[in-house]
Amino acid sequence: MKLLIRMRKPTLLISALLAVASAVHAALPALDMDLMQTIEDTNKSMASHIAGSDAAGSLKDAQELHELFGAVEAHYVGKGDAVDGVELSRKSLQLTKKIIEQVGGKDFTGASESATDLSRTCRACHTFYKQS
Amino acid sequence: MSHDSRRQFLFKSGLGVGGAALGGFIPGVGTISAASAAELADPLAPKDPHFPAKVQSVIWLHQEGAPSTLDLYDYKPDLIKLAGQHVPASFLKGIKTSTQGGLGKLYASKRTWKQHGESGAWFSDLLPNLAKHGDKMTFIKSSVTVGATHDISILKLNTGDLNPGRPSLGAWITYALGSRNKDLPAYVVLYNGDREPRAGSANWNAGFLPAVYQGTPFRPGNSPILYLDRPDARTATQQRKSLDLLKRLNNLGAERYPNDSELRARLQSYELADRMQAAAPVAVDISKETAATRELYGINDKVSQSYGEVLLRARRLVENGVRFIQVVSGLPNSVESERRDWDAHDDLETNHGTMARMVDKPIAGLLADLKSRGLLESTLVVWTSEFGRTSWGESGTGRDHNPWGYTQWLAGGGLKAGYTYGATDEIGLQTADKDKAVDTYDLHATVLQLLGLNHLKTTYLTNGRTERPTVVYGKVVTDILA
Repeated sequence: MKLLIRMRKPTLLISALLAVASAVHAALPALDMDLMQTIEDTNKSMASHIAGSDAAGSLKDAQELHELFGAVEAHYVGKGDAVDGVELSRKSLQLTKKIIEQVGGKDFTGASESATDLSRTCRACHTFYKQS
Repeated sequence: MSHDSRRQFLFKSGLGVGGAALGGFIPGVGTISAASAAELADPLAPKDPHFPAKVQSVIWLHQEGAPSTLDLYDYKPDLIKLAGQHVPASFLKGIKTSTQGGLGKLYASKRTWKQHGESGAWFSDLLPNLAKHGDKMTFIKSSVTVGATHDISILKLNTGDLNPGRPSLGAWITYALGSRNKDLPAYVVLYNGDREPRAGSANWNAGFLPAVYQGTPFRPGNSPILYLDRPDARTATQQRKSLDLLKRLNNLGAERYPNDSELRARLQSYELADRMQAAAPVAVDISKETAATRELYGINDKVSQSYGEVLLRARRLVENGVRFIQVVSGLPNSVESERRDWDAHDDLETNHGTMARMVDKPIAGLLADLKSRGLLESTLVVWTSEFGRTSWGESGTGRDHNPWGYTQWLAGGGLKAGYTYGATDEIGLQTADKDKAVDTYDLHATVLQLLGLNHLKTTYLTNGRTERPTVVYGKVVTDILA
């Protein structure tokens, strides 16, 4: 019985810690594969629209990406100890904002370059946070 | 949707080369009013670049199997000092080793190193002939890629993607610029050895571009294209009449299915084959080259003979206006039991000794020959590979795959000659400054730039999406441009 109690204490402690961790995790904006896939698809769509000088399509995609990168930033800020993630998601936010402005001004060449920078920022982030 | 209505739908959607022109996606065309009838009828008609080109042709020297540039160009005294020790953790940040060989101890091969020329470029003793041309070369010592298996990384090297389906760089160039010689393919693939390159035709195909833009492989030997020769029993007149009939019939089919790029490619290829029966054998016939030229290319040495012959053919193809020549290194004919390319997972000394000897004199000869004929200024030579090799050893005598930092070089028009861009860390494992990392997309963007093409504006509409050669990445390495 004594042994059981001894064993229970650490078990209970670990369980409690896990529960807290889960609660904290649940409070964070989800950063799952679906979100990442949506970002990738939208990014490719935006690059295509910019290349075709399609202002409406480019703006729609850029605005959607801006919102999605907002969620990514919130995730990394909440996560803590993710300096690279915070920095790169903020850079992505700046770039999507810049693209919105460039497309608004019909500067598709500039927007294309910014979109390339955005894609490379995504790739840089994936080198830090790729799955083992 | 019926077969016919689907065709009509696709036609109205603007797919295919005609649709691309109508949509303004052919470089130098812009709108339908600017597109000549000849361009629409002949997808290989020459097209204007976006801006004046620095070079007219590219010789893409793919070193298949991934040489250890650490043992050729990238001199690392610290690697020699630390050889035999575990890799210090500080060098491994950001690296995940998933390759078969695992993480071994640092390894130094038995190289001697020397600086050459006014530029002071480092070369190992494996490349004594190429070392004389350091001042013509522009090194990129911060090359990176996605490292996987050879086939996958080779695909990325040539098409920009890890999955099959995208056009190769040569196909994009042929699509964007057309052909300079209507009697020869604009895009030729050469290889030495007795078999086709291991990663296969996915590396010179046209992907979603019309099939007419794919590369044409030329086999080593006297008959470069299979079944090209007219059978003896058939006269030239008979062949011409037969081809004319075939053309009429195929044109009827082409009218019914205007977006069938395979059919269009077949029409082109029949006619091209007819013209090539005369032109191709002459273009690649090196028998009349002088003894001095043959010596220059190392054709008198058994180890370098086959590669030298291929590079001499490459020069002749450049002279004949071929736009993109993709040369894949194979094996020397003299090697019988050793069935490997540059892929030295073990016994690097023997492997690289042979492979370097196979390419050293031929490539040096090519550079010297192009220069003496005044062709180097209008040609771009690219020395490239799917990845490099690790600073740590594998099997005690070899090296594993390294996608994190390796050397490639370019030579020719529009470049800063005798210049080095980027660097690896002290042990030659990773690119030292990540902002200077040059991925395959960046190399492609730079090659296109030298050909007068803006990679962002070299586009093609497929499946409702505008695609470009550099996918969604790619930046021109402006620092290496003259």
